[in-house]
Amino acid sequence: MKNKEYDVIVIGAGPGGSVIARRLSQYGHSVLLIEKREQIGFPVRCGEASTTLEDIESYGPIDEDCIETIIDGLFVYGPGGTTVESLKKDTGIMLNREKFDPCLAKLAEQDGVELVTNARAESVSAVIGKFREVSIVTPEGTEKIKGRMIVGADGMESLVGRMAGLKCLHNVNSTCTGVDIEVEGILTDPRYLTFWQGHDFINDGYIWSFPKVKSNVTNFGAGFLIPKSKDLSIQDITLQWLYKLFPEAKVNKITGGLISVSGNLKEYVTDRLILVGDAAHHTNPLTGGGIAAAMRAAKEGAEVIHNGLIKDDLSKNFLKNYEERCSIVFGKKHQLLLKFRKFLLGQKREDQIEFYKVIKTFVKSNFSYLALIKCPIITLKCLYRYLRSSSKI
Amino acid sequence: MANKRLILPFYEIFLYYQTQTQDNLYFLKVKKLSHDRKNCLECAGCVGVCPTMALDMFGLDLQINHDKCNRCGICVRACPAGVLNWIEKPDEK
Repeated sequence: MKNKEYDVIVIGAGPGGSVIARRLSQYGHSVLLIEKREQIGFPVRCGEASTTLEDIESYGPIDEDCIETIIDGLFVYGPGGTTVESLKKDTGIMLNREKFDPCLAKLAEQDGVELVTNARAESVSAVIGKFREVSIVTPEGTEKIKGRMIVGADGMESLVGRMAGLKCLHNVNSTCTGVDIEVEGILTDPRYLTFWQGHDFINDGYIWSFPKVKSNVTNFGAGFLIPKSKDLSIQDITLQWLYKLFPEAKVNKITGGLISVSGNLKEYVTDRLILVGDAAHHTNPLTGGGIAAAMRAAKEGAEVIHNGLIKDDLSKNFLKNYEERCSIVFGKKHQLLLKFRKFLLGQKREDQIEFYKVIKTFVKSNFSYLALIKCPIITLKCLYRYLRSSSKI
Repeated sequence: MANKRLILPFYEIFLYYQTQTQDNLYFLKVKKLSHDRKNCLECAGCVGVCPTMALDMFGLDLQINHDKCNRCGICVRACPAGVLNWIEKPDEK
């Protein structure tokens, strides 16, 4: 580290960390970005499907290599043999996170961010005057660096928030455990994201198959809520399912990870510290996706911090602005999806099948609500149950 | 070992009292968390879910602080590859 003092120290160089560091540097602040791994973006802990190309490109000029496939729809194998096919142009893209994360970090570096890899934040001190002190461990030794503002973007295993006294312990009942298996060749339709949900044992989660056309591989993975007891690991379950469907599949590598699906944390700012991305549970509680939300939160966070640094007010009260902005942009949507997930998983199998039929007619009619009248009894039944269950939550 | 636990923060004390059933006392004395390094996916998920911060990842190695561990078993359930397991504890140092 060149200096002993920075305006902002960003911990974690994932999509969230890199975007917020780059934006703050563009505003003219001195930024230090540290990453505990030696290589940014490795190992990948992600299914790699994300939002639209437009949305991703609004964060900066991204290499073409990072984008694997443009996705034009979803295909869901639901319970009881129901299938839902949703055709919608440009619903999303498949990323190559091994290239995407370093690309974002490189963009940040070009804009004047000081990037240090192989550096771990061991502890974050309380506010001392106008600073917080972070002790950073590198292979060369431990250094204490002062930052006027700390951004914790250290993902799922965030310790920064806990060190600063935020209540960001994961709730076991709303955390997903997942694996992602890279299989050679394209297994399913390359235009679609394919999901399996509601089969035998796949109840509180789903199995996915995402095609990566450029590298000619498929991400075959699964994400389930943490099981009550442990018999088989999720890796074994997914491999079983893979070989059942595609007996000749050739596995390249396996990665895993946990996803918090509890909806945004109640509080993720404190004096001179904010959390961004997975660390603040900015994940979609239905799908578990978090790249888009993390980047969006980083954008909002950068603006709030910039204003704070100019006004020299980085108290908790001022930073609450960031929480409010996030809540408007995606927080409320996430709350709704959380309710929806709890409703769907709380249903019996037969009711789930009926519910899937409703969704099917809804999607078939190009998302027009009028189509729901075609199966009025089931719709009313589902609606009644949904309202009743959501009032309980 | 008991003295060390008294200085832990509140929620950890709460978790400690949760473990006071007979089964878990047996756990505290006899069981120990083990980590199969060979098959580990290095996702550090266990570090995130551990309520007592007994786990930490230095580089790509998982470090287990056995004194902090309260044997709640969340990491064992959560591990996607199933590399965390209970083993019989060898003799105390």
